[in-house]
Amino acid sequence: MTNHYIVDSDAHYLESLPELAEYIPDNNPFKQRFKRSPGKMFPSSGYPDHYMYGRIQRDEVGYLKGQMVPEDIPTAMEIVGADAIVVITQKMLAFARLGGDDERPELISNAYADYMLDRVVNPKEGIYALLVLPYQDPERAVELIDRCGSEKGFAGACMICGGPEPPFGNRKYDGIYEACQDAKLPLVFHAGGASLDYFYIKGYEKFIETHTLGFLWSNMSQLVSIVIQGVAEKFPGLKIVFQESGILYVPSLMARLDAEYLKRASEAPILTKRPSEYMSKFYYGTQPLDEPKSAEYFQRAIEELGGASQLLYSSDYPHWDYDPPSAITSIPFLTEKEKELILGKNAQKVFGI
Amino acid sequence: MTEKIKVCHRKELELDTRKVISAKSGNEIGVFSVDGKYYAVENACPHRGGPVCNGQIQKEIKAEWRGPGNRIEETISSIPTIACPWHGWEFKLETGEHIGDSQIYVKTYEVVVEDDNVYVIC
Repeated sequence: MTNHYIVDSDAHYLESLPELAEYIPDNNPFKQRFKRSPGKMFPSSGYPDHYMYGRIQRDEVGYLKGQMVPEDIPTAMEIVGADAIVVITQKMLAFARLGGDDERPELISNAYADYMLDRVVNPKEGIYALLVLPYQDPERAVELIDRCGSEKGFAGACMICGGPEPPFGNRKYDGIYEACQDAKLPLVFHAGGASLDYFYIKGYEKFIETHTLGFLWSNMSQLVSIVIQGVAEKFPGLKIVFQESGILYVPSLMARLDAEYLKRASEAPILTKRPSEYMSKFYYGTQPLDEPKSAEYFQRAIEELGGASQLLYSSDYPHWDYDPPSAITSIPFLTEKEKELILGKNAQKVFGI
Repeated sequence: MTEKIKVCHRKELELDTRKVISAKSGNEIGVFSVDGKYYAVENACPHRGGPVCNGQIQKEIKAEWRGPGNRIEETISSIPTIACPWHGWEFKLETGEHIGDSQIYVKTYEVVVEDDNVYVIC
């Protein structure tokens, strides 16, 4: 184990839908629907077995049994070895499946915020959550930021990347960015699971294929939109974090976007510098950490995306592909100072925890 | 050692026309008349060496944003640019700077008019 102070900047909490229903207004029919049919919050999907039919186990918390309870979080922190943890939703990762329904996202986001404040977050114990925003209705998302954004238990706000239309660079989301900037809430763009089952090319046969591609597509599609539409130029005080697609896609996308930008700069006149220069100021969660054969290549790629100062250790626990802190401490070329930054200090700075 | 090359008589380089000449070094230089001003740039794109001086001349597009929720308004400025026909790399004729990255530039030259003749100093 390491002696570093560790902040797990992205772990998950599987909330119970019937419990969330308690936080939905009594006169709303979804209160009954969620209580009676908790498995039907989102349209059904042929979700694969992430845990490979028993090969991967998470018996220590209630995740695989279908519901986690607040008491699971200290257990998760102990397993990961985290001194502080930032948990986000499980169910809302599939927001994109709701299509044009902008009522359920608002209800669930608000109920989730109240439930997390009431039952889960505990800053004194290092337990934080992200305020998941109902991006489908930006005005309601801003109301939620105004209502809960100053709560110490919320380390930041979160938008789920799995398939929002239009993508997040569109001006319809400006109010959200402005509200987060004003509230000094870092905004985490988290890859969504929704694009895995509904991957835009249908017919993949194995989860290993769609899981590899889905998360990349999820974050890359939003990164491109956010960068080219000038979100960082328009809201220079907004702290932007991308979670859960590994990190090596970042330098690759930087190079690709720069090449496009130099050929088509007249299409992005809002930008005052290369796309990669904006991206090198964003923060990136490390999980699922890429495992390239070449350490030299890995080192160069981290330098290219902005260096150790831009990386936030994240476990993604209890998901099947979680990374313990040893994923970071075992990287041969990182200095102790860089490991300290990635494992905790960067997250403390970004999230103010 | 500078070279002063006669391009043509002023009347031959009328408004919005161009001439491409060769210097002693073998470098090609494009000379342009745009909005009553003369410009000269090297005919070699720093990207892939394309014939940038054969490209389209237009005005740089600028963006204006009036705050959250507003569309980014794109307007045509008065700054003349030329785009390499191979891949679209676009340069300001006055300074040679790439419009997206001022660290990249195409070489520019001074243009003078003497006795109604246009010269390039290179």
